[in-house]
Amino acid sequence: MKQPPKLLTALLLICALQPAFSGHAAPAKKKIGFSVYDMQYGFFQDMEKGTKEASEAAGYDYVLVDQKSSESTMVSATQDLIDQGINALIISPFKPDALGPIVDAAKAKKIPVVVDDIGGGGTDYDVIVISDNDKGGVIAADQIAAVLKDRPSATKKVASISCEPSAVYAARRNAGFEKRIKELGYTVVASLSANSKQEEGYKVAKDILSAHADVAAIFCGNDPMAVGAAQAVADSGKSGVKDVYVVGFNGDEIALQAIKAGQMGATIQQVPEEMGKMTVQLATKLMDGEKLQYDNAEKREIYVPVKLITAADLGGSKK
Amino acid sequence: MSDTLQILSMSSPQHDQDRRRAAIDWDLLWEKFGIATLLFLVWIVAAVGTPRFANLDNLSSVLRQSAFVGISAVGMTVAIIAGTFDLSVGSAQALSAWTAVLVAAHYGVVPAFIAAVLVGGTIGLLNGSLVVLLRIPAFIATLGTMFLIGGLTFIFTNGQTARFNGKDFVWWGNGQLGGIPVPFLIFLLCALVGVVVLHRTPFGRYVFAVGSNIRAAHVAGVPIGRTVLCVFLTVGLFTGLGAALLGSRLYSAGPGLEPGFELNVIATVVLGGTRLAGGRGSMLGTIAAAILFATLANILNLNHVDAFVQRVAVGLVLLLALSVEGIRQRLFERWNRRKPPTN
Repeated sequence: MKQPPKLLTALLLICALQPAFSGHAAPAKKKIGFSVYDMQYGFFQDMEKGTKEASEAAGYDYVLVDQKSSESTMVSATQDLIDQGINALIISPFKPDALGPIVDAAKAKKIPVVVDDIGGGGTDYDVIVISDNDKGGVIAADQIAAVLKDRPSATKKVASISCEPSAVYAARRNAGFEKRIKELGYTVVASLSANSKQEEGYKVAKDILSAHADVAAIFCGNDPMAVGAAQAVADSGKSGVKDVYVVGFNGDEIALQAIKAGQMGATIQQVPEEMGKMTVQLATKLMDGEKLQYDNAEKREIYVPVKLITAADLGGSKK
Repeated sequence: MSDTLQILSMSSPQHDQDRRRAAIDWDLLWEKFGIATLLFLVWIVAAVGTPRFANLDNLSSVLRQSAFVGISAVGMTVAIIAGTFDLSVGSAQALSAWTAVLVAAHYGVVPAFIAAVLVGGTIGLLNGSLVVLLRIPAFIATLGTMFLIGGLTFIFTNGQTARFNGKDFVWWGNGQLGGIPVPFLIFLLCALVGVVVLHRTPFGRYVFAVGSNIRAAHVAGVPIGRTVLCVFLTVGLFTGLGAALLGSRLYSAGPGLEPGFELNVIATVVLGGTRLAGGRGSMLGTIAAAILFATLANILNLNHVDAFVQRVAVGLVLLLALSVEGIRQRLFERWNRRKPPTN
């Protein structure tokens, strides 16, 4: 007696589940689990690359799950990691607010938790790795001062455009910038928020340019706002490099293109690959029971260096 | 055999009359137990092929995970049997879950669950009213409310996530009772309620009647408008309850909680053997399909399948889910044609 539909469907589904047959033998090696925000984005692909390479170099088994930009998947997929017996958890959380159940589940099994960027959601994580935002602002200030020194006509007036006030890490970029640039003898004539958005960066920069036509440089807390500001500068008939030196933050593709095309001066690049490597080093220390040296002990933060990118770094002409 | 099946049957009486002719009705057997058998096979294969699948923690996680889609799918099963469906459950889930977390933080657990169910129910009534009173097709009406409620959630929450980790609240999403995850127990309870409502109440009979043949139902005096309104209300109530549990599971909820939730719910119901055309459906199938989807996601993770390949695999299973009915019917037509005619 034939019963085609049931068999056929079963076969098809089992084919879809084929990977289930390629089971891995359980090794005695330590296992690092990384739960990534979303592998669709270049930033997290780079972060994953660093994490994977460092894990394999250190001789760990490495397991990855993707949160696919979903809070629900973030928790269920990370739970899958915890259930399969990892020795340390590294996570770049899509929503830090939903870290609670993950950190509780990990702590119940005595698994150390290293948060990579985004935020810790006020949970009991062991350490959070973030870009050195404050230092990035300082680097931007130094670069602006170095460029303006060679321009006798330039004034000592600069402006600072920040992300939305709730982005606490990004706010440190502008704080670091403003403190340093004042030390270098400049005046911050405007310090405004453009909510991280390119079009608002454009509007805010326009306002700044009409109120202070002689402003010599603008620092923006992220690249979309910097690209918007550079556009506003261009619209006022000036150059975002030679007249009003515009500096962004992140190292986003749009900013790199604008720098290469001579529309804006520089950006401070975050290095997600280095962040990934750092998380594995910290996980190793935590698994060995070592104490960590925090850059900010109260919030258990450790900073990863950022770097300055100008046209010279991108194979274009300098300044 | 066929008498036993008759009792378990969830199809319309007329359909069962036709079906009774065959000594062993494979089609009906498949509809009732096919997906459960498949789930059983997948679990055996996974247990043999994937280390750490058949471990209590892992199985518990799979069952827990099945509940969040499953509870909403109980309501959706009723809707699809009635020949309609609801695309707004993802938005309803986000708003209800956020409400639950917020209310739990200020007023306690019981008010939180009541509030979430009320929010879900209100959205259900809105959908039902649009379909019944304004005669907007369900696809358009619920697509509209999907965007409307989704947008309103962003406005209410100001884009922020609500967070609460009170022990008695998070227990509902994370706790266990006798080793079984609490959300899964609630899922089973919901499915039981669904079965009772469909088979022991006039409303259930109306649902099958409307889904099988809406004109015949009208002629027979079934209150169509009221039935459809209650169908959408049912979807909303179950979705609200599931959402409160998800908020509890995540200790938090905000806008954009689970992208593609509505499609996962509909795919679960259809994979479970309920017919998109309406009139026939299986709650047992819905339970099995919800567990099957959770199992699939789990197995892919345990086998370290690349995230992009995972998207493809899930896409293939969705396609399979939606085409399984067509494949089944074609194969039966061919098979029946080959059989010698019986009296």
